[in-house]
Amino acid sequence: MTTAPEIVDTLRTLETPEGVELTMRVAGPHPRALAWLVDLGLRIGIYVVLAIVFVAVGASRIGGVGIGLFLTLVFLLEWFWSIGAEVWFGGASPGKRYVGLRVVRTDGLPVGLTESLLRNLLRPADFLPVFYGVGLIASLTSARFQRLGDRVAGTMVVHVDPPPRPRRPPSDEVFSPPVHLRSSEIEAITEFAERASGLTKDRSIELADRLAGLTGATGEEGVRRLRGIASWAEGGRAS
Amino acid sequence: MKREPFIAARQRRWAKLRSRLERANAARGDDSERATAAEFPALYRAVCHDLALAKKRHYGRDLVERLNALALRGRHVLYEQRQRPFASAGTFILRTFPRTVRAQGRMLLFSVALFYGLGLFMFVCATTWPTLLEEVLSPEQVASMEGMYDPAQREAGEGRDFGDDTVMFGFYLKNNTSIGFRTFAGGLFFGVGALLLVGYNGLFLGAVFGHLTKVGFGVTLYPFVIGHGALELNAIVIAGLAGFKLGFALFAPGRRSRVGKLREVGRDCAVLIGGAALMFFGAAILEAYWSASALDASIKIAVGAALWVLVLFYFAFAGTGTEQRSP
Repeated sequence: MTTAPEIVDTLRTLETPEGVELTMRVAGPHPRALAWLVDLGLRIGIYVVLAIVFVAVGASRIGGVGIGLFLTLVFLLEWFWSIGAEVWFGGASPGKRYVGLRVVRTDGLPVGLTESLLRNLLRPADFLPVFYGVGLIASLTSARFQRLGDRVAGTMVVHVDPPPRPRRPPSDEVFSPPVHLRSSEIEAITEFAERASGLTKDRSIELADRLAGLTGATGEEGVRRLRGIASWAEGGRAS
Repeated sequence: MKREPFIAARQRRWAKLRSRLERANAARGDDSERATAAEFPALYRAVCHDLALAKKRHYGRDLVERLNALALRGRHVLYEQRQRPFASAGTFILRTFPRTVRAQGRMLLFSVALFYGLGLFMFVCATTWPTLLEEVLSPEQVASMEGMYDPAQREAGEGRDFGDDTVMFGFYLKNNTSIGFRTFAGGLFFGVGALLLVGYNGLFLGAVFGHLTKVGFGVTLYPFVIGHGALELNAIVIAGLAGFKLGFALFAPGRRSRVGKLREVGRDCAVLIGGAALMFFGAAILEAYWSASALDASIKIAVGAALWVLVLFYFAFAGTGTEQRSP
């Protein structure tokens, strides 16, 4: 029996003690850049609000204590914004939360202070030479999209929720396949049935005709029978 | 069982787990509400079981993915890591940090020698061959340094109130700690970034000290810097040390892959840079509120010297006692 070839996708599977395989979707540069921009915007927003307060109250009334606290706040926001959020607020900075991402260890568990310190304090290395140039190259050459800080910390950024997926329209008929189907084959047929509603009629017929040997029919009847097989599988009879 | 009855039969417990998760996130720290609540692990296991069934029976990818996401969230709450090296600030400061620093051996010596060695070298150069000074300091920098510490002009820190001190605190904290963090991150480029930053800081400070001493401004300089210097200078050494560890891991990973070696040293690096950050914080407090105070120079020198001894004793002996079981 041939082994399945290594699939190049963004799914990372982990086996849990509960005896089930959980799948995580690692996030690429695009959603992460979006999250970073949201975080940046939020921080800039905070600075703008503080600046307005400064002007409104007047620098003389705010005095040195106010300026000192402002500098301290800038320092904390620039370096500890992500660290605080990752360790104490569910593994995601506000930007990541907004985009639907979170930081986890490569074994899928939440990050601790150690990992978070490493990945965030090493950010300057990834930021070089401008706007995460090093980080981009590092994450594109990594199977888990890890920038340098992620690699040292052993962390990755994953999507929290699955992508929206259309529910397959319920098929009116159940078609029992004439031969035994392997699990991966059933999965392919199920996915076809899910996506068939989004394909043109000609395209779904074209695809279904390739399995004419299995369904014993071509054209629209073939598509109907494939959807029937998906229905049959869903009934739990395939196992 | 078909898909719809399967969902109908189990929907309630999925919803229950979901609401438990929301409450666990909302009530962080409250143990009665947290994932430790007795039924949570059972609910989580049940959802894992449902996920396995849904996969096996091909109930559709939408359902599998939904259950997968739910199980992942449950797993995050259930297995949330206890923050070990930083579990208690006291243990970290009194035990973990000084032990980790001592454990670095030759790498620690290297960092100390590089920083203080170059500093001393430049100090001697600046006092002996003034032309060399221009290699490190621009004339404007020299003039500004002289202005700051000229005993004839004013006592350093005179006329500052609490507000001015707080401005300086914010400034020192932001500036110096950021430099420390960048030094650490610079270690990722085979240590070159850390070498440059530690080396440059050593040369720069050596030049400043040498020059100001030579022109006779030491009487204002030393009482000012000796106190916070005990923390700040050594924090630079330790931030550099953390960077050198990264650099050396890349340079000579031994039998491991480079990334594997980086992860191995990463834990120590996190402790080192975390401790260095605390030292920078302490230095900023001292520099702003103590070093700049109008106290007599002899008091500052005495307290500053005591601080140096304390810091050295701290790194030499803190956490060497017998191990106590932490509760």
